[in-house]
Amino acid sequence: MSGKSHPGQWFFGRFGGAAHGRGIIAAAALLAVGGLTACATPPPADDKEAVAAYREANDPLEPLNRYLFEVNLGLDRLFLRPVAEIYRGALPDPAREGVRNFMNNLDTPSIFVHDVLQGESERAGDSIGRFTTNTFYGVGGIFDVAEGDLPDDLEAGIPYHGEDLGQTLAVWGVGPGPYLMLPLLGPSNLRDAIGLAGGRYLDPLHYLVPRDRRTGFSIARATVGGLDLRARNIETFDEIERGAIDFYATVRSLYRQHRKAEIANGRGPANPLPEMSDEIEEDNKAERVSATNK
Amino acid sequence: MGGRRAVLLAAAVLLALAGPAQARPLAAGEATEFIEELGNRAVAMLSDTDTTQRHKTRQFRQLLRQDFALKGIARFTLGRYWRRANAKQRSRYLFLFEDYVVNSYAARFGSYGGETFTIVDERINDRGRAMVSTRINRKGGKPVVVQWHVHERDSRIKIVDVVIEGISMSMTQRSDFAAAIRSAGGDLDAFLDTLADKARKSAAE
Repeated sequence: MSGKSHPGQWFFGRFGGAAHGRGIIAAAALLAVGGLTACATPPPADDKEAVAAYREANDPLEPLNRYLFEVNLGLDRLFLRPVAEIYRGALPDPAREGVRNFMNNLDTPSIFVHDVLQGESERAGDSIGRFTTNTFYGVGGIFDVAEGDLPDDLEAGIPYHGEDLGQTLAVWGVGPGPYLMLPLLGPSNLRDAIGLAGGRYLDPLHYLVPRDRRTGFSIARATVGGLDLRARNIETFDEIERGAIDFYATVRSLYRQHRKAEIANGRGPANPLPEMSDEIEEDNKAERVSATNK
Repeated sequence: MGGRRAVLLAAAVLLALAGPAQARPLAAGEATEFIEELGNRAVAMLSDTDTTQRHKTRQFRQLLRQDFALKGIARFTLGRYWRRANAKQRSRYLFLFEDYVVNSYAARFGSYGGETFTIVDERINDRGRAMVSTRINRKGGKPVVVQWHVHERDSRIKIVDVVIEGISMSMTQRSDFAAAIRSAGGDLDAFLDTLADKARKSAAE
């Protein structure tokens, strides 16, 4: 879940990378209540294309989700964004880089656990290597010495990769379930929300923290991680909002695609090309046919 | 009746002469060469401090028309509503779509910060379409992986989709448009008005 900086990622859940059990319970309660009253109306079964579009969006709670999205955006404008701007203005780039490296290193034991659970032995080795190297030679993880000298020397180092419980569940065959907009935490789906709530129990670090400090530790981690991610994506986020006609639907699509790519670990079928080109060609054919008929 | 048949015949002959739009499978390296050349042109354009924003926008529009399968992308993006649209709506949409794309990207020209690109690899699928992976290197940031999906049609290589860190631009746009049309109650004309508005707005910024 703890993504590296790339476009359009503020909302991809660094928020609560580790925890927030209580928030999730509150969200679930809200959703349960809301679900009774606000459900998207499915299209009539004979409109096949509309049904396909409805399934693709996979968002039966859309009215409630849209409401929570607006609430989140409001909170962002009031608190998160201004604080992120102050954070970015107050700390120079290398200092923020240090914070990010430190947070990434803190996540690495948990990432290792998920590498193993997903049967990714090579990536598990990468995680061990990164954690030991950065903890000892990178002053407790403040410097990412393991990744090597980017971008000139990419092959020499071990670049960071993220993993979380939601991804592990996906690898095990659990489907995403309905799309969910979580209060404060942003876009998710049923599987990833469960992963978010349960992930801390698979994090070795969690058990090193005294029992009565665990919740505070999780919240602090999530807050710093979320703040850093927001600060890195101020312009990107603005651009997406400015360009979109339906911002909510755009974010929903971005989240789905982003998670798919994360789960695929950079290989396999996260490739929309065949499907898309077929459609382009089909349309071409259809047009040619209608041109001959005229 | 006879006149109509003659027209039909003429159309058929023309079509036979022109042949169907040929989709030739790409050979290894062709797509990479295309992307490399295009990327160099784009970097040269973006880093040129002597040209005005207006001129850059014009250059970008030309590049878009020439090197992107713009009509195909536009059609894909409108999805099922394309098939329902009448000829007038279609041509208006194609016109607006180009403006919308040009204007939303032109707004970002100013934020170019010396990024460079490196070709990572090229893959060709069983239908002869290629996917070229590139790494966009940023100063003081992590590199971003961008994949360019290209095909050849009528002996021109064109980009069909751009996928940034696993996120397809066409797919995202399609979701956006689908939702916008649905909230307009399926009224395509109302949606086109919104699109026109959006294209104008981003041009003004």
